[in-house]
Amino acid sequence: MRRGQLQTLEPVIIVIVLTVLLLAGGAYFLRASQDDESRRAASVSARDDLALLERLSSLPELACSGPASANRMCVDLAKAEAFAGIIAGDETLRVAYFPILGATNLTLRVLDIDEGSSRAMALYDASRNGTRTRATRTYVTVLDPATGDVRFGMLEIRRSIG
Amino acid sequence: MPAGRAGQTETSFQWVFVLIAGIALLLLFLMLVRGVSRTGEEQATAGDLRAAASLMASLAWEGSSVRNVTLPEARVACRAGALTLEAGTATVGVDSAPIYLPPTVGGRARIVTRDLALGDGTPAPFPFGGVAYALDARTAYLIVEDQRGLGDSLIRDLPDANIARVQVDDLDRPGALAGAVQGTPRTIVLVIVGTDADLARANISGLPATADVRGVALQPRSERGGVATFFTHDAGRLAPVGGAPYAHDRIGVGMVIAADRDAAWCATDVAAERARAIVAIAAVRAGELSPEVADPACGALLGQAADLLDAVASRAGTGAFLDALVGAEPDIIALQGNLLTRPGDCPGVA
Repeated sequence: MRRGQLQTLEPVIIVIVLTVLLLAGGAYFLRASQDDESRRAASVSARDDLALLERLSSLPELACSGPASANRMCVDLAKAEAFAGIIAGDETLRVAYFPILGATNLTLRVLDIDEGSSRAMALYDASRNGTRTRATRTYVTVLDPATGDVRFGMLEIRRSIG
Repeated sequence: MPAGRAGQTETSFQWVFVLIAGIALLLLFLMLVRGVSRTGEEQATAGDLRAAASLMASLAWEGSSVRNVTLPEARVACRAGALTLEAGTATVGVDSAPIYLPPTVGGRARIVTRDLALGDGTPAPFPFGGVAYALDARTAYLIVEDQRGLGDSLIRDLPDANIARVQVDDLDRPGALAGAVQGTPRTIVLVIVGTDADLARANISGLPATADVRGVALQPRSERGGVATFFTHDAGRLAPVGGAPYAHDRIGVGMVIAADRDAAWCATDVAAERARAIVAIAAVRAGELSPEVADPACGALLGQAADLLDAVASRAGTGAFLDALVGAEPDIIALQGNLLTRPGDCPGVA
């Protein structure tokens, strides 16, 4: 290649390279904005899940009995066990709860702080298969009505997001 | 690159640098895009948690007050096995609302309740929040209203129902309510557009002794476009005829006026199934707690409760179940009272 030829092609090559760069940049921004939208949707969905968590502890199926002020965000352990057992063995009932609980997987974890262990109890599972899941959690108090002991617990919602 | 004169090398280096810079930028873009998209598991971010905190704060605020959740244009959408209310684009699920389900026609539905969707954190002392009363043709409505005629909108949506209107000024007058009742209803729903004080002074002594009387007090909050929006102030379940209202019993706290007969039956089935689940959970719970509690007398009461609740929950059919539930209600309340008044940590029925 002679010097004159190269000098002639130089602006063309630079234009091509810049075009490639612009296209790559455009693709990046497009992708980034799509991710931003999906993150915003995930944020709204996470807020819904948090509202559901709040609602869960006031459902008569799970809520502790007694004065309301003392029982906010309190789950009755015996009710939770009964609820999990009944709903696991009754497909019709699980379908009936779907509009309330949605396509989620609900788990109650009862934490034993002294022993540093936890026990997970699957309350409800109607989650869809997916490669990605989002977990939203909130802490609750868990009352064992047999002994009156109050433990620390965590309600977790898992939802497939893709 | 052919080695040659100085000018040739200089020119070649200029665009080679551009290419190298371009490749570097491309790699940077690729890394950024991969970094953004690789979110295998998304969790609530700090922003979400702040939003949640504000949400829960608002819920706490709502929980401390009685909310107006009247949906004048709502429809009962009985689908997928749940009672859902739709108003415009908003859809809310009835989670723990105690429900009256009168059969009615009119194409619209209204729910008046104080515990809808998000829950207000104030469970009734007797927390069978999902108890539904399948009101049928043997149900009469007594609407007690003041001079503003706020009962009009209730009546408009219940064209075929057995409804009588009474002025609030006549509440004290013996026989005023009884004289307004038509037929021989099995259940009388006493809807008072007023306050608890009005509800308490309702003279029900002349009502048919065979009727189950249930009262709801509605406090008018606003009136717009001819459709009154009611604000549930409180509700009391009137004791069987002649008795005084239970001051804190809020079983019958809400009322759903279903859109049409099919929707009413559909919603009745749905609500009954929900109530059945709640009763079944209470039965299992009481049965499991019975041998575990330290106090043998408490355990025996829980055993009785388990048997009673199990018998109710196992009744086949919506009507039979609801009849059994309503029939067992006094015994359940009595058991609950006995359990909660025992010394120690004796748990309640539910």
